[in-house]
Amino acid sequence: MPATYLWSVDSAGKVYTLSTGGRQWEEVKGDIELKRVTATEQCAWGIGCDHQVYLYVHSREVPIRCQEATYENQRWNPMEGFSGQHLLPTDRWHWSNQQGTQLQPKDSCTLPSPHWSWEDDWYIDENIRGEPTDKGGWQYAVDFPAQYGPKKRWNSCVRRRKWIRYRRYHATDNWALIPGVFEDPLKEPFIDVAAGGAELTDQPPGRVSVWTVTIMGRIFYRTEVHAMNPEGVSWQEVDNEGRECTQISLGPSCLLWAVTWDGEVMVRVGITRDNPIGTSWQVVAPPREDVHFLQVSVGVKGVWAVSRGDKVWSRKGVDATGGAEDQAALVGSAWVEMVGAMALISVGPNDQVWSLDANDRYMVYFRKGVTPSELSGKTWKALEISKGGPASMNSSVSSSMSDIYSQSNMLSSQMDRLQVASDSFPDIQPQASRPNLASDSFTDSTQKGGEKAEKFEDSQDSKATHSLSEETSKESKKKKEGEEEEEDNKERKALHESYNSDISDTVVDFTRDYVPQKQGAGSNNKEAQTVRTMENTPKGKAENTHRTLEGSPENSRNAICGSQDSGISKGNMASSTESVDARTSNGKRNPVLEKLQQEDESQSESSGSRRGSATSFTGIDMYADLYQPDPAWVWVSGGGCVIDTFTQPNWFTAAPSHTNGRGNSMLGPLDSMAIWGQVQINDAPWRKRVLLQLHERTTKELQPFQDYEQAIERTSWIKKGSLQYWSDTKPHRWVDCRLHLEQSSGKGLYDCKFTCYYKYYDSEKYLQFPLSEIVCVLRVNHGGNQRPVLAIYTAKRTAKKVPVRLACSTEKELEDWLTAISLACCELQGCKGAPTSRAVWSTTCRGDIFVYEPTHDMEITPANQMFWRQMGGHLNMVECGGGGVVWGVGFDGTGWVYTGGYGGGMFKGIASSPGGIHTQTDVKYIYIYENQRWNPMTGFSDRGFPTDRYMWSDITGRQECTKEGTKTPTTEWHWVGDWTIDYKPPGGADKKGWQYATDFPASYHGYKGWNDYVRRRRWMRKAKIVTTGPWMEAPPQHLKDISVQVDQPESSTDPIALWAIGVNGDVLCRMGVIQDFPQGVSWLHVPTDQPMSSVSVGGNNRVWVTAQDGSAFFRNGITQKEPQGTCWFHIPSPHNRPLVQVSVGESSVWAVDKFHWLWFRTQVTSTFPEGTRWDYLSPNVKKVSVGPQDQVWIIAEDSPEKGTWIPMADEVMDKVKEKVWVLQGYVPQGSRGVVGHRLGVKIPEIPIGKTWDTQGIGGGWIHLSIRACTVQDPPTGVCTDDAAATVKGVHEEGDATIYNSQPVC
Amino acid sequence: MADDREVLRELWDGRLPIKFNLAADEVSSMEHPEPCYLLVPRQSYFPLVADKVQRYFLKYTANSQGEEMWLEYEGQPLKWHYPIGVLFDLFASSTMLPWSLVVHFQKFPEDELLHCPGKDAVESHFMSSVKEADTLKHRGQVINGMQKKDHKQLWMGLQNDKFDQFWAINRRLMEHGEENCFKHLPFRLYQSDKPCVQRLFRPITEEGEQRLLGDLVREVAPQVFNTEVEDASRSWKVVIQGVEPPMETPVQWLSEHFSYPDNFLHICLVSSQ
Repeated sequence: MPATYLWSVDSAGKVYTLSTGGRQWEEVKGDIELKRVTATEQCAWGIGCDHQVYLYVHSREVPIRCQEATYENQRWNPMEGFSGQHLLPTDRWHWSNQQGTQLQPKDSCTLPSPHWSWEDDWYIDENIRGEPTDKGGWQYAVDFPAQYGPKKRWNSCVRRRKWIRYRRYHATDNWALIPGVFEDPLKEPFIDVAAGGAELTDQPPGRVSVWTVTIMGRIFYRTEVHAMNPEGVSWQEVDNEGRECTQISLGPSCLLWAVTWDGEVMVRVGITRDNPIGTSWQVVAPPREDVHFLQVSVGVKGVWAVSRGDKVWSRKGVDATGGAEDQAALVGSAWVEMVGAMALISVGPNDQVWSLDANDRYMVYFRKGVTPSELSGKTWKALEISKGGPASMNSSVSSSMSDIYSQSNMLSSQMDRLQVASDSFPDIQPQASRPNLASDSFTDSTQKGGEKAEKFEDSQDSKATHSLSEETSKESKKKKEGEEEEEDNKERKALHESYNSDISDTVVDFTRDYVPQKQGAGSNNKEAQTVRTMENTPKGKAENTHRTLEGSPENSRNAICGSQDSGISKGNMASSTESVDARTSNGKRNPVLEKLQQEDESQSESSGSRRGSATSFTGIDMYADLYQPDPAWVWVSGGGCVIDTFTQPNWFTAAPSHTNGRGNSMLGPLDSMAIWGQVQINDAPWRKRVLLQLHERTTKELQPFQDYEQAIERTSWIKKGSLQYWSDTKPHRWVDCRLHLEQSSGKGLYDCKFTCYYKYYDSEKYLQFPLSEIVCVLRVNHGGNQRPVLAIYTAKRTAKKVPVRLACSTEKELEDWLTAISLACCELQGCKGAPTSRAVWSTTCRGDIFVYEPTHDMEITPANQMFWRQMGGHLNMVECGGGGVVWGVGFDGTGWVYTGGYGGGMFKGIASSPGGIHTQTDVKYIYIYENQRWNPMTGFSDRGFPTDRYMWSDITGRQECTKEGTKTPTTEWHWVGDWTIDYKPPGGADKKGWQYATDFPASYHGYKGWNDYVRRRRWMRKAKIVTTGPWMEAPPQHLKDISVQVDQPESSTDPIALWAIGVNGDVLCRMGVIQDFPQGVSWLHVPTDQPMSSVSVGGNNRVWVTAQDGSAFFRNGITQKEPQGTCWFHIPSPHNRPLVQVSVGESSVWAVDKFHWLWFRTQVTSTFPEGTRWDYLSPNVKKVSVGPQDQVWIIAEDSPEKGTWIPMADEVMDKVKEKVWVLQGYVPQGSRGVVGHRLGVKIPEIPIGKTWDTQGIGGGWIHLSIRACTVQDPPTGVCTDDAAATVKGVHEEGDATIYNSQPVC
Repeated sequence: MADDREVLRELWDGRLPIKFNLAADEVSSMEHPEPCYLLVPRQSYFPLVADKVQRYFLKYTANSQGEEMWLEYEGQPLKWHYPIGVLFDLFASSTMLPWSLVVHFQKFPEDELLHCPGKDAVESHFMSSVKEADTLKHRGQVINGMQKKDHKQLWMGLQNDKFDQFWAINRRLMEHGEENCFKHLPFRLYQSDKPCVQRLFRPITEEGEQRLLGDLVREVAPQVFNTEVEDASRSWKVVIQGVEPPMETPVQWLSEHFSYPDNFLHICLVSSQ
C-alpha cells in the first residue's frame, strides 16, 4: 500500500508531514509559514500566516501538463490559393476553436496563473485520427462544418490545421498562492480551508472540492479544481444562510460540516457529483444548550468535534456512503461525549482520527481501534515520532517541563537529556567515554573555533538550559504564535526586554528558547535567573558577531557560541546543574524530579543503550541535531492519510535502538523498499555457517554409510479427502467423490498417482493419472457451484480444454488441496526455489500468476505439455525481460517488482521462500445488474415476467446476484465501501445509470427508445484483496502497461530499459534499473502529443508504443546517454484498424488491433527501424508477446466480429491473398484465453513462422510474457515428459467437445 | 515463521549410521551374532526404529519372553525418550562412526531408564512435549486449536519419516504472532553428567531486539564463557542437531528451524576434553 501522509503545522508556522511508512516528521519546505493545513491524498491546501490560501502540490515524476489547441482555418481562392485572409464573411475566424464558434488566436491563450509555464512554442499537430497528414498538418474539406480528410482533393475548398502547445504546472513542492476573492487580500482574509470530496460517487476522476471561510464568516467554493488543474479557477460564494462560519471540514465523499461563530454546527446537504456545492444547510442540534462547538472534522462515517472546554464529541449515525439523498444519514443521530481533553481533532478519509491534546500540544494523538463497526475507537495513543533528529529525543525537550508526564518513555528520553547534559562536562560528572569527547571539543573550540565544536557548545547551551535555540525565529513568528502562548509572552516580557535590546530576535531568540519550559514550569523564577545569567555572559561577543552574520541564523548562532571561551562555557555548565537543583528544590516539581532521578538510577543500565547511541555518533554535530527547536503543534490534518486497519504504521513504539531508529528515519519509502527480506537472513553469516556445517554433517554421518539399511522404510503417503467432481460426460453435474493424492518426498522420489473415485450411475468409477502428467492446477470460478472449485489440467485435458474440476466444501480445504497438489507436482517436475530468470510469466483473469520454466527447446515442446506453476500475489499483468527483471501491474494500476522469491499467497510457511515475500494488495470492482421491466400500470418496476431474468442478476442474467447476497470472490477479499450505481457502464447510460433495451437478452443503449420495455443498471462495489507474494510495491505511479527490454544486459551493471504507460496515457521510462536493482530509481516522463495505450522495448532499445487513437509510434534516438530518446516516428495503423498492443522482439515487431487481429510489421531493419507496412497474420489474438529470439507467443481470444477471419475489405484481401503463408494457419475460434505460440519462426528467413500451436493451457489467461526466454544456458532436467494420461474406468473420449463455453475463470 | 526449507530439509534428512551389537553376556547361541547396521533418523526415537534390531537379535538370546530391549553406549544406558540425535550429540559426538551401541534384553536398569511399553508411550511422550512447547510458545493456543487428526498427522509424519506430512502441520506450530517471536523459547540444555536445564527465556529483549544463541548460553550455562577458569582442557562446545551454530544466531530462528520434531530446541553442552 502506498505511503500516505499526515500533515501538521507547528507554532512556528512550519509544516511537517509524517509518512505512514516512516517514523519521522519531515519538514515541508516552502517559502511561507502556515497556520492551518488541510490535506488530501493528492495535494494540501493551507492558510498562510498572511491569511491567504496556499496550495501545495507534490512534484511528481509525471508533470501536470495541459494541451492548449487552436485551429488555423483557410479558404481557397483562385488568386492566391489557400489563404486565411480571404475567408467568407459567413466563415469562421482565421483562428478559432475546433467547432469554429470562437475566435481564438494563438496569443489569446494565456497562462492561467504564474504557477504555470509553457513547455515550448506552438507547433502543428500533423496527426488526424491516427493518420499522419501531409507536411503542414492541413486537413481538407469541401466547406467548413464538414468532414475533414488528410488528402487534398479537387473539391477541397477549405482547410484547417491544429496548433498545439503544452503548459506545465511548475509550482510543485512549494506553497503556491491562490488569489483571494478580492484584489486586496486584506479586504477579507481567509481563516479556514477544507479540501476533500475526492471520492464523491462517480465524479470526474481527480476532482477535488475546496471550501474556505473568510473572516466575515462567508463560505466560498473553489471551482474546477481537479488533478490537471490543481488551482481551480475562481471562488464561488456559497450562501451561508445568515450563519457566520468560523471553521469548515470536508470528508472524502459528500460530507461537509461547518462551525458557526456562536458555536453551532451545520451540515451541507445536497452535495452530488452534479452539484458539488450542495443545496442548503441544516443545523445540527447541540448535545446540550451550553455546548458550543469550536471545531469539527469529518470523514465518511466519522464526525468528531471539539467544544469549549476542550471536550471531544463524536457523532453517531452519520453515513455518507449512501450519497446525498439520505439527509438523515448525513446529519447523524446523536452526540457522544468522549473521554479526554483535546484541542483539535482531525478525521482521515477512512474515519481514522488524530488529535492534539489540549494540555500537551507537543504530541499528536491517534485514536486506536477505529474500525468501520466501531467508529469511536478505543483509546488515544501518542505518536512516538520525532521531528528531524534521530530517535525520539527532541520531542520531549519541551514536554519534559510541561505538566504531562504520562509517557514513561518521555521521561526516559528526558533523562537521557539530563544525562547527556551532565555527561558532557568532565569536571562535574566524570564518566567513561563522554568526557574525552567533550573536552576534545572544548579545546577545539577554543583553539580553532571549528564548526563542529561550535555546534557542540551550542548544544551544551541548550542542554544546560533545557531550552531550544530557535534557528529561524523571525519577527513574523511572534504573530503566528498560538493564543496559548500569549500569557507566557507577557510573563517573560521583562526578561525578554532585558537583553532584547542587545541581541535582536533574528539572531537568537533566547526568550523563545525559554518558552517551552516556562510553559510548564510556571513560576520557576530561579530557573529563569539561571537562564539569564548564562545567556547574558556571551551577550557582548554575540552582539559583535551577529551583525556580520545576519540573515543566516544558523551561522550566527554558531558564531556566537564559537566566540565564547571555554570558561564561559563552564559557567554555563555550572548554571546548568544549578538549574537542575533549582528544580528539585521547587516543591511543585519535586515528585517528578525524584521520579526522574529514581528512574535515572534504575534505568542507568537499561537506558544505557540509548545513551550509548549518543556516544556512538561519531560526528559531534549530531548533538546539534538532537536539540533542534521544537515548537508546539497548532494544527494537524489527516485528510490525506489512509491508515489501514490491517497494517498500522510503526508510529506508536519508540525506536527499539539507535540503529533502527536512525536507520528508519533516514530511509525514505524508496530506500526501505530496497531492503530485500531475502538478503537479510539468507546472507547472514551465521546462516551460511549453519548450512555449511549441516552439509559437513551429511558428508560425515550419512554419505559413507549409504549402503546401510534404512531404519524407517520410505513409503509414499496418501492424502485423502471427500470432494465433488464435475462429471464431464452425462449427467453433467457435480457428483461426490473421494480423492487420493499419493505423495512421496525426498530421495527415492517416484511418480505418485492422483486418483478420484466417484459414482457413475450406481457403478463405482475412478479416474487416475500419474502426478507427473499434471501440467497445471489452479483455482477457477464456481461454474454453477457455490463452493470453491479447483481445476486440474493434464496434457491431454489441456489440449481438449476440459480440466478435472473438483469442488471443495471450504476455502481452507481448497487451499489445502491446491497447495498439496501443486507442491507435489513441483517436486516431481524439479521446480525448486525461485523461477529462473528465463521463465515465462502469465496471469489469469482471477489475478493469479503462473510461471512456466522453459526448456532449451521451448519452441518444440507442445504447448499442452508445459507445466505451469503458481506464484503468490494478485496481478493483472507480469512482464519479464533481460537481466531477470520482472515487473507486474495490479488491477488497480499499482506497479510491483518481483523480489526474487517464490511462494506467498496460499503457499504458506516452508512452501515460500525465506525472504522477499511481502504483503500485496489489489482492488477491483464487482458488478451486479438491477433489471426492470416496463408495464403500463407502474412504468418501470422490479416486477418482471415469470420468464424474465432475476431482478438482481449478473451480466448474463442467469445467476441471481442481490446486493446482500453477493460475496467477495474469496475470503482474501473484503469489501471497501458500499454498492454504488455505475453511471458510466460500457455502452453508455442515462443520467440515472439506466440502459434500455427492447427485451432482455438484447443490446442495451444509454437512452430510452419508444419500444424499450426493459432496462438495467449496473451497480458496482469495490473489493480489496490482501495477500502475500514475492512482490514489492513500486513507487506510486499507476500504470497501464509495462515493458522490459528483451536484450540480456552484458554486465550486471548495464542499465536495463524499462518503459511504462501511466494510467492516463503518459509514456514513462524507468531510470536506474539494473540487474541487481530491478526496482530502479525514478520515472522519466517522455512527452507525447496524445495518450498512449501500450509499449514494448525491443532489441537494441527499439521502443514502440501504440496510441489511444490506434496508431503506433516508434521512438527514435535512444542511446545510453539519452535513454528517453529524441523524437517519435508516427506509424499509421493498418487499414484504419486501431492497434491496441504492440510487442517488439529482437528484430521483429508484432501488433494486435482492437478486433483481435494480429499484425506483423514487414521489413524492419536496423537502418529502417520503422519498417514498411503491416501484414495481417491471424484473427482471434488478444495479446502477443515476442521474445528475444523473436519467438511469438499469444493469448488467443475470439474476435468480436462475425466470420472472423475473412471480413476484410476487398482491397485488403487482395493484398493478403498474395501471401500464401496466411493460409498456413490462423488461430481458430473458440480458444478463448488460451496460450498458444507460433511454430517455425526462423530469423531471418521466416520471421513470421509457419503454423500455430494453440493447444496450450487456457480458459481465462489474460497476459503472458516470454520476453526473458533466451536460449542460452538451458536449465537441466526440467522437462515435462510426453506420456499420455492413463485413464482407467472412465470413458474419456465420450462427448468431450471443443471447449466453447465461457472461460473457466 | 519457519520458512527456510533448505535448512529444514537438511535437518530432517539427518541420519546416523549405527552398529548394533548384542551384549556379549546375553548371547545364548553358539556363535556371536553379526552386528546389525542401520541408518537411523536423527529426529526419531529409538523405540520407533528398534523393531528391526529386536527381530534380528531375538533368536540369539535366551530372552525370557517380554523382556524389554534397551541400549547402552560405553556403559551409559540410553534414554529412549530423548531424540536419537540428542543422545548421539551428548554422549558420542566425538566417536568414530558408525556409532556402536550395545543391545540388552536383560537386566533393565530400573533406576536409570523408564520403561517403554510400546510406541503408544513414545507417541504420548512426543505429544506432551509438543504441547509443552506450544504452551511456552503460544500459551498452548495453537496446539489446542488443532484437530485430533492434525495431532495424528504430526505423529505419523515423524513415525514414517515424512517431511511434508509432518511440516504441513508443524508449520502452524512455528508461526508467531504480532511480536514476531514466541512468548518463550522451548529449549532444554543437556550436559552428560548433570540433569538437563529448562528455563523461561524470551527470544527478544525488552527493547525488541533479537536475542542470540550467545545470550541464551550465557544466561543458562555461564560456565561456557567462564574465562576465569583458563583451563584449556575444559572448553565447551554447544551442539544442536549435530552442528555448532554460531553464537550470533538468533534464538528465534534456531527455535523455528533447529527444534526437534517435539518442538524443543535440544542443546547439548559437550566438553571437548
